[in-house]
Amino acid sequence: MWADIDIFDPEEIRDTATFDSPNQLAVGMRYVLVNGVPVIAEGKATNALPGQVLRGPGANPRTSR
Amino acid sequence: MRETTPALAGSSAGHKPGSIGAAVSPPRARHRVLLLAGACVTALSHAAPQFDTLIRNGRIMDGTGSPWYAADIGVRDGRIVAIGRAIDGTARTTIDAKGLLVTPGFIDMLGQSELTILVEPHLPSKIFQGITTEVTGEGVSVAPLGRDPQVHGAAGAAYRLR
Repeated sequence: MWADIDIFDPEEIRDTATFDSPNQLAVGMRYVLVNGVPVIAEGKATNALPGQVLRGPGANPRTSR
Repeated sequence: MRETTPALAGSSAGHKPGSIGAAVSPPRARHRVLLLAGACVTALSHAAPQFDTLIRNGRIMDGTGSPWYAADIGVRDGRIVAIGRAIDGTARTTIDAKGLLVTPGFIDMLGQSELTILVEPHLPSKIFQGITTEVTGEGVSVAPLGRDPQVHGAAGAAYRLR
């Protein structure tokens, strides 16, 4: 199983965006792992890019519709 | 996730309680080669840690609706390779998750970040919500799906991002 894992305290999860200032990130995630690599560590972005494209049947002209 | 519940991990033949949990899934051929390579490296250097990341003391909530349970999670080569109580092993990185929830990364079933990801490839707007998988490209896609590049291609994306 690929290791996509969130580590957080549910009491700390908060949405900081407002109508006046919509481009605000949510807070509260301590760690977020994508494919085993932290993209958030100790609450901060690591700038790692471990993600992968997961293609569905629509990506193949032979199998899409 | 179901095969990694503590009951199953504990009942796995040959694993005493407290030892490393059951292997999560049978490795594919490519993975087996990687493991073999890893074993050779381990043989040459005794310091090679068993896990890339070990998450200790967390409250595992597996997303099936079951209540949380206390366990450690071992991660190696991008995969969850062990779930169990007090996993014995060395790790490159150890995360103390005491008092914290440890959950599967969230899945955004219709996120529409297909344009945003071109501007911010790290997609902070999603990962700071704990979203690690997103279904996207529904309706609109930056991929050239149609014959008119002005609508479906990069020019279409640039137009929408203006």
